[in-house]
Amino acid sequence: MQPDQAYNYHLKASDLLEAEQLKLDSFQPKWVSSIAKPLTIIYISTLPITSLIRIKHHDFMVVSWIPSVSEAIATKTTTDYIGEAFFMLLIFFLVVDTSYPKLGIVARWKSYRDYQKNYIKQEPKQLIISDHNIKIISENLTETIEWTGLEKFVENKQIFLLSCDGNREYKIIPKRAFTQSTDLETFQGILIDKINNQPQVN
Amino acid sequence: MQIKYNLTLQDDLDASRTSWEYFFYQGNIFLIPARYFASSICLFSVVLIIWGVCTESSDDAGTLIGTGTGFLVVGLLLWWFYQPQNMASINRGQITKAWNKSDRRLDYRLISISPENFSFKTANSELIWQWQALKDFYEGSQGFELSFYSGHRRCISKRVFKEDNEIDTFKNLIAEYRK
Repeated sequence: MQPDQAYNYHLKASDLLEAEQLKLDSFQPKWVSSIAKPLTIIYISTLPITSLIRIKHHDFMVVSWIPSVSEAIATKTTTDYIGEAFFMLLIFFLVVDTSYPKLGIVARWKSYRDYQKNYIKQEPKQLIISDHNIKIISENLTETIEWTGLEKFVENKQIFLLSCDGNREYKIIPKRAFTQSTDLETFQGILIDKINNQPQVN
Repeated sequence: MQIKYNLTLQDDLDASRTSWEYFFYQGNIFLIPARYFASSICLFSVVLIIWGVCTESSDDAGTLIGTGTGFLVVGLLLWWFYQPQNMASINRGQITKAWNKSDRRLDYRLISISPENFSFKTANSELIWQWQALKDFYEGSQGFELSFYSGHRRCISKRVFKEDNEIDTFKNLIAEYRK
């Protein structure tokens, strides 16, 4: 990597989605993303499944030790269970969407819409890395960020996500901007050195 | 025109208020449940529980309270997971707490407006937009909100203008240069 060498890239809507997922993962303690979140998803997924089964078998998993609840469930009609199953499915999809944007339909649509509406995100960009700062230049926006202003970075297979301004803003740098693997490794080294942070590969 | 000021907690509070005013101005009131998904589930579950408590039929009460409690657990978990994104812009106490934890009190803002571009400089960064990048300009009760086609938003508190005529000059310049 030469000093002040420029790297050209285009952001894609999928990069925004990757960034959303990384943001969530990097905000949360490890135990939340690896244990609590999957357990919540499993619990939530049992609700529509139970409702769907109860369409056929009204007494499936009826809680017998609370008489009023068990009686109420047992006396519901098939239409009630179909409506309940739809509602539970909706909640399930929304929870998945909130927890795992990469799997979610709404999050995918939001990223695509954000990309379409904000045309500067579609402009070709030039990344210039120097000793003091990084510059991201496009036709209508020039961003200069001092290394001291970058607080944290995380990465996955596709992108680097740099956070600044108290995690209020993020800069997305796709790894494909670096056409040579040595440049990519050098940039990783610079990030570790300058931001003083170990990368968290997700 | 150049405006330079040191950042204070008031700027964050004004920014939050202006952001909300802008949100309502855009007619996004129906998106609140989506924006605060976890909080909405909590609210929904509390309504179910209260409904259950007030219901005379014990069958319905049991179902309502049971469902409400289930959703409350899920809502609280989600609320807790996503608190940084969900509640930061609404809670004054949280804004103050975040301010006290950050080192932004040493930060400053230098806003430059020229016929060519709009520049927003802080101690650690500088963003320069061409005027055609300005998507929207909104005046709230406490500040101005500028949103750009880059997805960035910047709020300028009205407190940074020493006199009323500076506010008028600022607004006139934006109106003149905006394409």
